[in-house]
Amino acid sequence: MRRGAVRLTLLVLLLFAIPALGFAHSSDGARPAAAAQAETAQPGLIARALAAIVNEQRQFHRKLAASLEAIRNEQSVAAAWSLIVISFLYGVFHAAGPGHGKAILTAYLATHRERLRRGILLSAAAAAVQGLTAILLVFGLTTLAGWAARDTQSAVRWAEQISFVLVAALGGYLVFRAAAGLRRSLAGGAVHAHGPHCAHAHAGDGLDHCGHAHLPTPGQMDSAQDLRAMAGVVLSIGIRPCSGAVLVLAVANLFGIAWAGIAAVFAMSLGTAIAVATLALLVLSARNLVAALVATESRTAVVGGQIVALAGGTVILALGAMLFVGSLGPAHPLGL
Amino acid sequence: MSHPIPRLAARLLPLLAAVALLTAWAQPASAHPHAWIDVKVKLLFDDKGRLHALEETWIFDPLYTAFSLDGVKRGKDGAPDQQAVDAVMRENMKNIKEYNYLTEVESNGVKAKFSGVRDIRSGHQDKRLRLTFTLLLESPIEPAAGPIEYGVFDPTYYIEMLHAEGGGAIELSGAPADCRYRLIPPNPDPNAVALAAALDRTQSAGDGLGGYFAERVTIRCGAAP
Repeated sequence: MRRGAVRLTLLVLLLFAIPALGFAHSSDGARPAAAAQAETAQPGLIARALAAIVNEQRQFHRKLAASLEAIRNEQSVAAAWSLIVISFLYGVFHAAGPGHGKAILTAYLATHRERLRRGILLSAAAAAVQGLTAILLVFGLTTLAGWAARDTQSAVRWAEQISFVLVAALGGYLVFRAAAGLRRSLAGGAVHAHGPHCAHAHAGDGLDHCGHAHLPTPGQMDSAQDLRAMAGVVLSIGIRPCSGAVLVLAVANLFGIAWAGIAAVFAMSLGTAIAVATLALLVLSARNLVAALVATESRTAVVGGQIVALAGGTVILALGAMLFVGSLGPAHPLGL
Repeated sequence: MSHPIPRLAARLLPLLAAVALLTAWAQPASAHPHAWIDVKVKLLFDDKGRLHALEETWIFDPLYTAFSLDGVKRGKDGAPDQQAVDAVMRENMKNIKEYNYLTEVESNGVKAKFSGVRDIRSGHQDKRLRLTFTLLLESPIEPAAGPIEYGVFDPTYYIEMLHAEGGGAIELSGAPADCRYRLIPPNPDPNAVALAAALDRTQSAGDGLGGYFAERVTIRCGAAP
């Protein structure tokens, strides 16, 4: 029991440290002084990788522009393929670089029990919703509502702010859920753990029951709550369209090659989905490994899981609030 | 006993390192160029050989051009109406005023102040918008006193601004004969880039990401070091 408690403490500390690390790092970066200091330090592996990604990204916009013009001028299959390949890579690199979607997804997955398949599903759904939002926004506003292309930027800002509010709401919901569970656990609710060979089945809800405790742990909540959290993750990430995608769609539409824009956005979404799913897999594998090292049956482990979930929810809530406040600043001076 | 804490920690460490590495990427930011502008700068010297203004020409990329000229009035040849182009550019000029026209001029470590702009002209050719304006320095800079440095960049790095390729992008007009310029290409330090990348698009006060990817031009005259 004592060893279990030590491991539990370790688990809580570690899992809390993971999302907190990313969060703390981002607020440090907001100070130019920190950047100035960094110039004297040796670049680390992460820093070099990030710089390489940023450098790669700056090339993509020019390549996208060139291939869109080539399609308009030549209408050739080769040009279309080149646009699709560039868009796919744009999606991969875009997802590999900094982004709010990954911050939310990693914070959620690192602190909540989800199966690997679910992690991949969440990543793919978020990327797909993001692509669809861009398509609906551009065609809805320009083709249907008759807006000028540049006016879609204000709608993008709105979508962005809605997305950040949703992030905060998701965080709040996760905090509330974890806190309620924690309160029940601490009040000494009935814990009746089934051994590893439990025989009784709860038909119909499709969850893995062996080893379940009748305390609602983050991974064992009823599926309605689970679906709500998943929908929250997907929507809060996906409702914010990628501005690169919006620009490509709007311009393809103006060039009279709307199909090419839609194909490009699907390719971007696919690239993003693959990159983010890889990240999700890594985070979940790490989480599962850590979780496997602590006793899963004990009451302390259940409480520990709830504390971790509470921490994860708090991080997501703070992230949403920070992003929302940040988004209230002025729009880009050149109307992009 | 089969899992003493040190061994547990040893197993966890590489794993944690991997997760930390991944979460470090997951920063709430999306700053990378979504557009580009080719820049030309004519440095205007007064009759005393002091730098007193910069005539800048910005040539916007084809996507930005198509994007911002959608829906404006067009002539019979399909070319956008000059008045419409002017209106788009007037809006841009109004907005970049707050950002010091995305221009930084420095001499001897002191940032120069601008007193205003004049001669604003806009045009549209080869499917690209063009904007020209003359940016006046509040007080003229004596080039013999030390090197003058300038940079034209978007601090948020949302737009990549580089001097136009093919020569002639930088011109010294009316400068003393012994003046020369040098363009220093961006050489961003990876650490600085990593930290700056954590900035959100809206947190653009001071040198954001764009500053690290900016070209700098130095002008030296005579014996100035």
